[in-house]
Amino acid sequence: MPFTEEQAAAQVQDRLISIASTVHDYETQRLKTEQQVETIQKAHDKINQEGRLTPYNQQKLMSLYMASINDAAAEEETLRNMLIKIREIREICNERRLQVRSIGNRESFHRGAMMLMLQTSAQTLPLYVGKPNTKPPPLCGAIPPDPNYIAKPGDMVAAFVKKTESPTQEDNWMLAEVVLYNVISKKYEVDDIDEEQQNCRFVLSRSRIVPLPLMRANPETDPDALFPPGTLVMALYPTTTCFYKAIVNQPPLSCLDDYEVVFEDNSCANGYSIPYNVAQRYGGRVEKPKNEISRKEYIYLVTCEKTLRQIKTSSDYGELLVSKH
Amino acid sequence: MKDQRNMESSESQDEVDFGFPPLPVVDKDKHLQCYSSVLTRAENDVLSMEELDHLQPELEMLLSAAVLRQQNLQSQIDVLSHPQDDLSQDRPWMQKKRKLNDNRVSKSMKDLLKARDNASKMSSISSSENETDNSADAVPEATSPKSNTGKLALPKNDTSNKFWASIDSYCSNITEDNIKELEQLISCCDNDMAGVKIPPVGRHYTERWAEQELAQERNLNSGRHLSNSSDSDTVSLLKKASNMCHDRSPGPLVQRLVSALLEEPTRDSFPQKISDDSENSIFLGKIPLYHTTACFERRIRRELEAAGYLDSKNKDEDDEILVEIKKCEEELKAVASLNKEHLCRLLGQAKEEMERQKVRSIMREVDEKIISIYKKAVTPKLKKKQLREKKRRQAWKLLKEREALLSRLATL
Repeated sequence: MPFTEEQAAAQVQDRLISIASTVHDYETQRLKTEQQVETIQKAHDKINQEGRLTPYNQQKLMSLYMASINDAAAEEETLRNMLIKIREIREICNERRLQVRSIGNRESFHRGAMMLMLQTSAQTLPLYVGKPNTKPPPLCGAIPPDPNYIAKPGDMVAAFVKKTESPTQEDNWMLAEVVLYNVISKKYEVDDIDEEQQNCRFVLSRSRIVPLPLMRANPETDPDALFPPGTLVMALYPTTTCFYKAIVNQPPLSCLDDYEVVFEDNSCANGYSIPYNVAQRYGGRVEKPKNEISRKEYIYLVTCEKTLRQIKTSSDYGELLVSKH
Repeated sequence: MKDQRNMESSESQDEVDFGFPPLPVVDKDKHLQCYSSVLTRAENDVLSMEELDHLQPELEMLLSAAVLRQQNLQSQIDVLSHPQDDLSQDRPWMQKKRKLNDNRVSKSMKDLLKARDNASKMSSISSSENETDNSADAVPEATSPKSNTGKLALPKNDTSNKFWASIDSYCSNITEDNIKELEQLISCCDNDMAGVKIPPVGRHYTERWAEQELAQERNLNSGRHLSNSSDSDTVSLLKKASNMCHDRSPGPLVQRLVSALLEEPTRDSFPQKISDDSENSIFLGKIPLYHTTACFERRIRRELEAAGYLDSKNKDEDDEILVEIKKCEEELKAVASLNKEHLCRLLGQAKEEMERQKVRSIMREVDEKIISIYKKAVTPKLKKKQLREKKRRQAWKLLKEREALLSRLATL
């Protein structure tokens, strides 16, 4: 049910307040955990120094572990609740935005603001933290979507636009937003995200649309949901809204990291750009290096190969990478 | 640079590596800036959207740490509760640690050495337990280092050593001790076959049993009208039994003998006189005094047998215990003879095997010599030099010797 502007604002407000108060509550939990971990670590150090694990110590460790697990589970629940609230806020905002757009008011950004918006939306894509023995869902990280998956309006996709249609007069995979999906014609209507272009509405068949991940994968809990090094991918080239072929140099190591990739680049001697170092995002609000790639902008190797015929085998790329290091 | 997590536990392990899991905790000062700033404000203060963008990743980080902590602790609990199983593959942080720290390798090497020490100790203990010469440790020695170096990071994996130590006593070479043991066993069998010497029945059994038998008989006869007064019954029976012993009523053999010696008493020649009590007692009084009739009976039998009047074979008067003893003895003899047969066969085989072992050890020496000659021969070949005649002859001689040994082995 769509909200009016006031209702939406109130809903968001409610959640923001509740999050703030939960943060205060959570602090006590966090401090307790810190203490607990310290106790366990002290016990570990002691046992390591003694050089053996007596039954008494083992029993003690077990009880410490059990207590810590219970607390961590409680902590997990609190955190998940907060994150769900944050997600709800984003959903409300997005809905509101779509509503406004359907009326005909298009928010217009200048290019820099749009790029920043893309970055934040990539960063604030929800993180999937799997419970033990659960598989990450489709569209989480590198997990491909269901074959019959239809992207919802407002979702980000990579759309293949041919030379004749394209404003830039070349074949391109561009970043676009779904406007609607026509069930009868089985075609998507998408908007080019770069609104400075004149003609930004495209009608494209399903094969020319690749939905982008809806969740980030956590390297610490679900490393399998990430593209391994050496994978050939399509990645959003820095400061543009187009996807180009690239190879994963290093997948993210923590949930804050990005992929490190090298792009195909004919201007460089070996045909590839230098691998870009990825700075920590929240180390202190550093100006982002211009080549940093957000995980959200990844699409899948298989789909690329289907559409673009002239792709080399990934092992070629792998060798190149190795020789470079 | 990507180390956001407090990995103290993995760094502070310098004594012994128990492989405790890292417990990820997010450092508040370093990584929770937005979170901290929210905390400094009042509880009901509204967050801005921009703050939300920063708070989200921080919360995600905390969540990831909490989940990871749970996982690690759970698997550590599993490890502690099943210490025997090697669960290192279930502990992802162990593998990571090994990858990251080079000095871990040296540590795991230490573990390896320790494990190997333990293994060799264990095998020596077990072989000494089995009282076998452990000169034949060749099999476990050859396999254990291979399996250890193959999997560098598995200090707990001494299962193979245990297995080989247990199997060692069965496939090691045969020694003199083994043969001695076999011979001892055979002599044991001989003892068994000699059988048990059964002593004559002692006074206790002859007296007591006779009394009991008589009592039983009496009981059967008089049981019909005296069945209810059992106490007085046994007393009277005992009395009667002692009387029986006293008046020395003769056993069946004695009666037969006596009656055989006497002329067949007819009604005419023997009037009522013989049946007279006084007469009878005088007659029986002449029978030599033995402590019981049973003994006397046995004595008579022996005498008769010696004289050849009685066949010694039909001794079916043995009591049931003696019968049982004899039955057991027969069985024992059968088993012992079977055992002896097996043991003799085993001894023969062991001796043959000893011979073969001798040949084999000679052959091993020859093999070594041949190999050393081969090695010497290969090096000059590389330098394209001819082999000297003397060496060549020596090599041929050794090869022929080896062939001869092989054929000898085949015939053995």
